[in-house]
Amino acid sequence: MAIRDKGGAAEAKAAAAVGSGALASEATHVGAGATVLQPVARSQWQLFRRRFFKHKVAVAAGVVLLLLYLSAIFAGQVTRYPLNPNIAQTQAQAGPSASHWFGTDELGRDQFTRIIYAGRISLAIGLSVAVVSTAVGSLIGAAAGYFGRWADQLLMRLTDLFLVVPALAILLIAQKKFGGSVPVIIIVLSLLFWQYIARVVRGVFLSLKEKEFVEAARASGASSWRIIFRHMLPNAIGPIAVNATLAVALAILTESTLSFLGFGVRPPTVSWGNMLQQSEGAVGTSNAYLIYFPGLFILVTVMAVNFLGDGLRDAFDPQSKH
Amino acid sequence: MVTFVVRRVAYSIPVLLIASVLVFGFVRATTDPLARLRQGSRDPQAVPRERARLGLDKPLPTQYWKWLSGFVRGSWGDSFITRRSAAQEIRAKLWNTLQLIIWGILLSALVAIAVGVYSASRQYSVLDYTFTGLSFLGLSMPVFWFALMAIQFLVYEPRQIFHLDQPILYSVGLHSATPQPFDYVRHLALPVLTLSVQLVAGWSRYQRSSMLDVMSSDYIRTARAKGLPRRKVLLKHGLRNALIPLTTVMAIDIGALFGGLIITEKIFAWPGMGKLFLDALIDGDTNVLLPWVMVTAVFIIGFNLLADILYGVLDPRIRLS
Repeated sequence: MAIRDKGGAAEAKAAAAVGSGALASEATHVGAGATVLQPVARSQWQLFRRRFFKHKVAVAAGVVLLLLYLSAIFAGQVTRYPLNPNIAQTQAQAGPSASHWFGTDELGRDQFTRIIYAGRISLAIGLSVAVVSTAVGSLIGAAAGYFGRWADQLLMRLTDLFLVVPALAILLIAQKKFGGSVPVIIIVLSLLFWQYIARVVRGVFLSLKEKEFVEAARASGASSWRIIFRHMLPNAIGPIAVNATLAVALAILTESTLSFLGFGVRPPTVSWGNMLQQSEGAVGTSNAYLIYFPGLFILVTVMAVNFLGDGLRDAFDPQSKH
Repeated sequence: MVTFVVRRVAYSIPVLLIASVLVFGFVRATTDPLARLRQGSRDPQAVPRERARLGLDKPLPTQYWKWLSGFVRGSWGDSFITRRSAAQEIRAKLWNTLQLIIWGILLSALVAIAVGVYSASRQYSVLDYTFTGLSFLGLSMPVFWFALMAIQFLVYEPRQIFHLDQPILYSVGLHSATPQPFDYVRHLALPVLTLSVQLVAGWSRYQRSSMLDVMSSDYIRTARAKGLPRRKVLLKHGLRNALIPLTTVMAIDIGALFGGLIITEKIFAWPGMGKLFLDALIDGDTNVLLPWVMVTAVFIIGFNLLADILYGVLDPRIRLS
């Protein structure tokens, strides 16, 4: 979309603002009234970045997530109290104050400290599940979409079956059997989540398979694996990234639910879900502040991830209206 | 039409059968029907005797077949804990869960459709943005936390502030010990509210986009062009067609609710399917767990089938393609 139109700066700018092609134009003022239009080539990445940064809410969500992850990594520096203090020296069940922002629990442990350390576990589980299920799901979905036939049939029928069993019940049974360590939860959640991404990637691959550039790669003698990894997967990066962020949100929510029901992360490892499980008795008492903050952290994190996913979707695919 | 329905029903039979194999294999692999006996009994012969009595010494395919034929005929075995028949237990609990589901769906559907239609007809208005924000909030809300906060702010705090003897809404169970005015509604309100949050958030977004889709189609422009009032076009021509996709989504979500109320029922001590499941899971009650998972799978498959058929009935184009 190269526009060469002397004097039509406004029009050119409007066209550039639409920016739907890989080529946009920018007006450069040379002299009074005279305008020369220089076509500026923008890479897909630049276009993506421009669109993403226009989505203010998604950018804000990204900043919030960054802060949450940084605070989890530097938990020791962010917090003023040890995770497991000497209980004899602490004040139990003190409400929020300047020295204990979120108050202390029944053992006198600082709630803010515990929430930051719990964030380590909850955020790590969210990210790990997303990475594992996205990697596995993309591979299987890509193979099914590219090779078709029985591989495709097998994937579709298998994921059909996963859709008809009560997911939370199955997760709870599996967790009861295999225990509450963090790696086990990551594996169990990934086993459930990979199929959503597999279905999405399969769909994208089915349509990409018909494109000319794939034909061209095949004609020039590229192997199937080269076509899948070098030519098709990079073109499916949008849907994969969007669904990976949604997987982070879903994993954090599911982990906290399992932990709340007592089948997730077990104490002494602390996660937002099991903090709420331990404080459930505070509901309907004056110590209810113990349930406000862990839940608020889950809510804010999940919401930020969802907004980020929304922004990514708009940035990758401006035509989509979802 | 008949062939369409028959074909869809026929397709769900193998799905059901394979699901039953998976459910049986999974539950048997992860739970041990003899665990309680192993821990509790001093008689060394008790475990082998019970194994033989339950038929657990037979090969797995034989066991599966025995279980499946029993399941189809309605003899699901007895609960290890209560010694009552699992079929009775599940039937009683199913009815309690069904009450939550019915009221929850009615409330959610009404609110979601109203919000969706309003948002679509006043796109990008302040209220539309507000609803969008609220639905993001609802979709990101941990259900259990919402329930806890609802108990805190709708039961405990009002009682403190207004110095009431009785709370306005109850947070435990299905009935009060002594009859209270509006007892049913006051017990139902909080669980129904809790399960409606995510339904309303999801459905209203769906209704909004499907309404926007319909309102930009040609026949709507024609209806406007021939001079019909806006309200009539919106509700009579637009809404009727925009409801078709929502109906199918609702059917699928309702099926999922049968197995998905575990958290809500636990927090509000609601004697339904979810609580039955948690109790059976904690006690290792395989004879309840197995039919429980199978029954919810049947409901999910059934409502998926209903969604398919409804779509075909409401939109003839789907049926013919």
